[in-house]
Amino acid sequence: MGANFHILTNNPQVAEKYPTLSVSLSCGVEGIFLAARDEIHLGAVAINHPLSGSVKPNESPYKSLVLSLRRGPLDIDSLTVIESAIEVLRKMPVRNIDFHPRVLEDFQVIDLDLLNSAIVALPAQYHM
Amino acid sequence: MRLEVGNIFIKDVQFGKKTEVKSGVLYVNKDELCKVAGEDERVKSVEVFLARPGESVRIIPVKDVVEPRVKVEGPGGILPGFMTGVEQVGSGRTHVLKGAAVVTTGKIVGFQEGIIDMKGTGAEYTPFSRTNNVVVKVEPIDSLKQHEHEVVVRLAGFRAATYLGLAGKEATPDEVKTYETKPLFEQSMKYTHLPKVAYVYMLQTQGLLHNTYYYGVDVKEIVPTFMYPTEAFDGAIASGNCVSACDKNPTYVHQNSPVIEDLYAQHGKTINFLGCIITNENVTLMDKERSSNMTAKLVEFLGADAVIISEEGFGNPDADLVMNCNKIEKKGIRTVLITDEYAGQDGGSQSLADSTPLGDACVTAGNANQVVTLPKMDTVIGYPEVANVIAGGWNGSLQADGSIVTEIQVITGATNELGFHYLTAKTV
Repeated sequence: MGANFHILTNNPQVAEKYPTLSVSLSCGVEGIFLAARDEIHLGAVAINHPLSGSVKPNESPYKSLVLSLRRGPLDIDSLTVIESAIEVLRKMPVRNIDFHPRVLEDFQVIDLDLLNSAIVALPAQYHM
Repeated sequence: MRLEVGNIFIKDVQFGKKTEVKSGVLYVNKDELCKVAGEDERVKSVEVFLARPGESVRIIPVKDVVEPRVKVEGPGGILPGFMTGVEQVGSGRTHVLKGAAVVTTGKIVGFQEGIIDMKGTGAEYTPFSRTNNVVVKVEPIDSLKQHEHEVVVRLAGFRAATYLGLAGKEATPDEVKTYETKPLFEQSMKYTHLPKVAYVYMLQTQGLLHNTYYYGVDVKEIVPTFMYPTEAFDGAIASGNCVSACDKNPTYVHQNSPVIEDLYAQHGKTINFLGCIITNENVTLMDKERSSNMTAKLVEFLGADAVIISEEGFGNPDADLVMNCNKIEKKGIRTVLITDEYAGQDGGSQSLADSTPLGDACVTAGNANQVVTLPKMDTVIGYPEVANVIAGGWNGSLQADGSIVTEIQVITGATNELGFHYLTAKTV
């Protein structure tokens, strides 16, 4: 039996650690949020909070969101949290910083660690 | 539980032959302090600097601030689970070098934040421009990964504060304050005419650079629990939280937890302060549901009439704050919330990522997106080049003359959500 959730991510370290669970997208944080919103409209449930961590979404270029593969009735709580996350992201100014590859790696490590916190605390109905 | 806190007022800090307090001056034996702070095979080098109020000094990037304290009577020691065993703390007598602080600086990850300016505009936005700071700069061995690096810097700061705290062990305090909370039934019978108030103390607990510890336990691993308020004064809550600088709670702020201090000030006068419930801010939505359910249950269990709820951080913790508020209010218990805002640089946007009409009593600690110009400082302790990539800054933040144009979210404690600050707004 396969996993009943997946991870939308643009973080290569997440894709490397969870190759069979990850859906790798070549986009920014907003792209991940919009893809998650699309899935939620199709009936998926958000498992981790999209604004996880205090590293702001206009600061780190990486984001990893855990969503159910289940497609049920629209989960209004999931929709509310992704919509408010999109709103938060859009009000933050574009920073235009060309980060050094080492800094990008650090952002990847933080995103992976926050994701790991979600994976170890998966609700009981989800399995890998 | 009864705790006496003896404050030894520190007016100045200087290097000296012996680490001691004399006439309000903290003398620091630099070599000994470096040795103690560096007692970890993962540390390559330690440097110590002093930064006093009013000096043209910038400390960047700041990781933690810790107050030197020492246990002089009673069980346990300061920072249990880290610097001592896990005996229950919060009773007996504790001495504090009030006016001194250990500030750790270390480049744990490539994006940086946490500025303390001792002078100028930036100094107004951080409470730690008014402390006499012993700055511990920690360089780890090469190839240490980010997780271990954070631990190494955190523990070096704790060791330094513990070492300096010992200088207060034999000193006579300038003032002694006494705090006492009785066991619950006894406490609730004590001031029956006053409203019973509890404190819901939310702690940031998400992962690397976002963790908080209670007696050394990672708080994301616990369910909400009761705490005697005085435990905080002995360092039961310790910070491993490095972001965001403006609204994370450094260990120093937990040691001086201002909501607890203020509730004690009203204890027996206008309220009956029952105690604290510590809770977490985890990453999954189910964890948030579970913890807020349990928090509301514990508040009810205490028999509180009202609670103060303080948040740590922004974004997903707003969801925890709103859940705690809703669930406690729906039990008929009134809430007052303390938060800060990310309302955009013009202050015109929605302040929080979540909201509730039941949150009708809310205190703000300021708008973290507010833009300020931090003037050039003569001396920079730490790593000045990281100003180019500070959180809250942008490409071009660092000006040619050495000044920094940035949002106040880079400044340590600028919008502290426990209200640990000197800036305030008053209706006149």
